[in-house]
Amino acid sequence: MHRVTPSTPAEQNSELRHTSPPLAADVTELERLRRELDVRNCALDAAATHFIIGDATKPNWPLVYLNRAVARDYGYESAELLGLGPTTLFPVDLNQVQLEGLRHALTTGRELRTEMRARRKDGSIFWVGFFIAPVRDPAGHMTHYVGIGADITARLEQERTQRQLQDQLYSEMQERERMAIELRLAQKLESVGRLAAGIAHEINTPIQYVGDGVAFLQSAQADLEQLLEAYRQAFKRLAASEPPAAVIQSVEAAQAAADLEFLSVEVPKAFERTLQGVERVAAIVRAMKEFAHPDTNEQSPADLNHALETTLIVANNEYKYSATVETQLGALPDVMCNVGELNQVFLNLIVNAAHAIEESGKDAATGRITIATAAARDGVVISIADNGCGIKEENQEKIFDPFFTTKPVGRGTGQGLAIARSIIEKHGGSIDLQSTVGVGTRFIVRLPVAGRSAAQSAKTSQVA
Amino acid sequence: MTRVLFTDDEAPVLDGLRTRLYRQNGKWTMVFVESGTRALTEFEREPFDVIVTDMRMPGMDGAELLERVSERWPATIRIVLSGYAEPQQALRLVPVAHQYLSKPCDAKRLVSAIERCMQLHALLPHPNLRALAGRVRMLPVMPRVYAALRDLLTHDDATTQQIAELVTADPVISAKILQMATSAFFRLARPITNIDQAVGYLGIAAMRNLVTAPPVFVPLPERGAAGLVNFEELQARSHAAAAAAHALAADAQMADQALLAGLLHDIGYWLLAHEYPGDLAKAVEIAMKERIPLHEAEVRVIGASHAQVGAYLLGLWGLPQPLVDAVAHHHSPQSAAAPTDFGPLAALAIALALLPSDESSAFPTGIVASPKVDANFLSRVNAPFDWTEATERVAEIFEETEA
Repeated sequence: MHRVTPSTPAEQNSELRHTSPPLAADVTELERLRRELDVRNCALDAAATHFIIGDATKPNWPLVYLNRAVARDYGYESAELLGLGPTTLFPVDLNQVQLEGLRHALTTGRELRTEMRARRKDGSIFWVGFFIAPVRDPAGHMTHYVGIGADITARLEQERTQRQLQDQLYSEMQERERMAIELRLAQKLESVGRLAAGIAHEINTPIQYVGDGVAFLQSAQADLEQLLEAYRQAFKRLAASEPPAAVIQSVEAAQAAADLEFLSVEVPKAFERTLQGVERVAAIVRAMKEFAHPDTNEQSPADLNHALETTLIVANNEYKYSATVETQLGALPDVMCNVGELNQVFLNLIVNAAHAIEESGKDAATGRITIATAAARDGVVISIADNGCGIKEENQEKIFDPFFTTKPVGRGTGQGLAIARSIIEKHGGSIDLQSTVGVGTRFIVRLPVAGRSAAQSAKTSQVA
Repeated sequence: MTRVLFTDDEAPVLDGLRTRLYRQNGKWTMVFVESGTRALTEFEREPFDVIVTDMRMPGMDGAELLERVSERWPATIRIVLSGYAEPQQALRLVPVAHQYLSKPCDAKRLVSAIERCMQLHALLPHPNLRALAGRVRMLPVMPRVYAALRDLLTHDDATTQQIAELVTADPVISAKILQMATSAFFRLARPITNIDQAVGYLGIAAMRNLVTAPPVFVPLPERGAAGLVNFEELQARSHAAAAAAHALAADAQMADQALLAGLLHDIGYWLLAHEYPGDLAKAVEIAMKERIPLHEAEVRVIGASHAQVGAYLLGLWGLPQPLVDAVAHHHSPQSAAAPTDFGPLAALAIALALLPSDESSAFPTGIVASPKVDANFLSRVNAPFDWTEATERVAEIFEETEA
């Protein structure tokens, strides 16, 4: 057998066909297989998917195959990577957890999906997603592993942006909600602060005369005690048969010293005044307690005439120097409501009325706030009217907007009426106004007797 | 008989006061009315020494009533007895009310406040002079300090300490701040012993209101009373006296009062220069021509010295009695009316006697007399040091001030 130096595989093949037909058949088969392999290789290289095969029998699991997409996306020549471990592409320091999972999966013969941080030759980092599976020989031993992956940076970026947008939206919503709560709280604090100062003033006045009264009664009692002693002495002296003229003289002197006439007029008055003062303080404290009805979402039946009277006591200091209040309270059925919230609404409307009267230059003698209540079909109507400056027509709708105020800084947050409307609407009611500049303003609050739930179900059934 | 008018729109408050104070009947003539208008009618009938009024009343309120009274009957002592007033209302009271007592107020406190004010009549026996003091509304202050303080208060990060430092630089502002803090204009009244405390207690917002509100302070011309008083020098001398009196005090509490006494002792000059510039100039002239002490010349021309006028106003404002005594008697610490123990007056008098005389160039040389105190005075008031030690202590302070 002579050896020829084959030139090309095709030449070799045709040569073989001539020299050894059976061998030639093998070669043809090989040729076919090789062509098939070529097609597979080309197909794998044409794919954008990353495709790697590694040798699982060597300690660092070196790469034995990688398609063009891998070389291209990682910035290497294919030859540079062959024989190197996968950690060249997926550095240990960036993928500790994933590589640990991978090792565990492959050694136990399982497949794995994972997301890893890959490093290009130039050092830049990107995210890849990989499906990795063991490859077994016919005997079932794992000889290789195969990995199929893709650059998922863009997808992750998109997801991140989406998440960010979502988070942002969520936190903005939370912020708005927080602000709304804070505003309500601020408005409440503002009215509580103003009320506290007013109530301190309201209570200090009776405390002044209760204190003076008790101190006076104490000194009067001492005076009377002395007088009593004079009477006792007189009795003794008379019993000892002293001349009455001398005894009478000393008793008269004691009476004059005690200013008995003054005391007998003033002591009963001082008692009365002191008791009245104590009652006044007690009434204010009682009203405060009722006014600041603990905040709950529960609704319970309440007498709104009584609620209005309570609010008037609590707010007395807010209006007594600028207006006289007249009440025309009709018989009302109890209304299902959160009476603490409604008190806040009434307070707002009364304080606004007082301010409007001050604005118009009127005082307690000429300013008038009229509060009227009446039962209506399925509900009650409350009207709070003043003869103050009135509201310009262009402002009449705006006054219910949050932050809208025509008052100077420090006089109001512009939240009062916005909150009043939201409270009334929460109760299934409505608030309206009639106003004429220079004449006055009337606010009309309508509330259903049955409260929120009934009003809502009524609406629902109407819609249905 | 002291005539006192009470005004309050609440009848029970008046009844309570009337019965509570009935033991004052022998000493006071008391009239009780329910409105400002009626108060003025009573004044027309016969003026009062003291008016006590509520602030918030329908119609004419307390501030307006006191303003009218201060215009027509300026010698009347004006006291507010009221509950809490909003800052804007309190500001309206600042120029016209001498003291602010908050309800509820114990009658004893009310009586002692009124009696203390009435005792001040001894300082200014002539009603015309009391009227002069009572008419004072705009308080003359050092222009430089006033401008700096206004500027400082526009900054949100100004600290209490910075403000107190500037306040202390001007005796008149200091006195006004002490009045605001010891009375209940902005907060409940509280005994206050120094300017830092007063500024801290009032708070920066109230300070800002007070200093920037139009009718309280007015800048003084750099040289007042026809060019005869140099207020920069007068202020420097007040500060030297304050430091020296402080160094001589026996304990911390006395040191605070001694310092204030030094700071405020010549406050009367600010008022005289503003209200009576011609007469003050005349007093200076006479003192020079006749070679008599200026404060004696003041008494001759005006009827009272700067010491009396200053002390009277501080007394009306309810500042502590030892401070008022120190200011009143700083030229005559051994007079019959002066306290005889070692207190702020003694510390101030010794300090003034020991201050180097070249510090007193606020006036033409030689007319300001130092108080007559010596080693005998020290032993009479039981001072805890002798003349040599006092000299050393003051000299030490003066060296520090120079440095």
